[in-house]
Amino acid sequence: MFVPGVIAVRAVHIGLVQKKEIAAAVERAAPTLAPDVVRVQYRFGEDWTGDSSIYFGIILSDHAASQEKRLGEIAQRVETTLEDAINVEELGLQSYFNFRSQSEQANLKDPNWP
Amino acid sequence: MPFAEHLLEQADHLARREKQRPRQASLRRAVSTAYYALFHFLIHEATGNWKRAAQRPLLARGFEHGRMKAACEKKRAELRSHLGTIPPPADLTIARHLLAVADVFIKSQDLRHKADYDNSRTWTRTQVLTQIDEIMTAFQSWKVIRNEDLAQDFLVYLLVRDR
Repeated sequence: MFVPGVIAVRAVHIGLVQKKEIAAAVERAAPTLAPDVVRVQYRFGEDWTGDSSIYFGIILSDHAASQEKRLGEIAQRVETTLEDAINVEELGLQSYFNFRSQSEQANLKDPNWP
Repeated sequence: MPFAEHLLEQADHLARREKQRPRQASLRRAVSTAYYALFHFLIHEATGNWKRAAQRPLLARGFEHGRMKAACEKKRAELRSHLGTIPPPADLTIARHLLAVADVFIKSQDLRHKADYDNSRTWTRTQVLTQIDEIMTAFQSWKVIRNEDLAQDFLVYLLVRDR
């Protein structure tokens, strides 16, 4: 089975200890999202209102991404799992999710995404 | 609620417009249009409570993106906390549906902002179809709870600052 990989890209406004806790939490949660999810990436930033935020880039398997009627359901499961894992509410972080298929990500060659 | 549903239908049309290689313009307009579908959906639900129908469009102009986001954030935090207390099944259902609506609103709004203003970002069809599906689910969630006091109070807070 392909185990989802985890890449932390760049970070702002979050303490080092929190970053490590978040990284560990994402590392633990990501494999539970297989086989629909093949990779979880994230970065920290601010949303359009200036709130501290975590932006996830979720790479779905091509099979999962092709099941258009399941996309919302898959997204909900991914979002709930990762938000619970890192406890966004307690950290005061907004969480945002971006989804791509494996093929789309391979074609775009966009390592800094999301 | 035809206008909001038509907007969402239009977003879906744009997301699928080019079969092989979707244009960024189509995807970005789809993201923005999908958000506006939810935005106008909630405003329509709120202003529908105003007795004098001729004044509803005027009242609708009082809704602001930032204020609505703040209201959704506050409600989402309350509902997450409430769900942590293991409420009775009836409360649980209402809370879950309202949480879904507030959460999707916040997330779609940020996507819309990026779609409208961030030229550095590349969009994919998977991203856009996922957003549209989540908004469609939010519409359905709202229809389940629209007559509940909690949902109706939420509509008021979308317009009025909670002091």
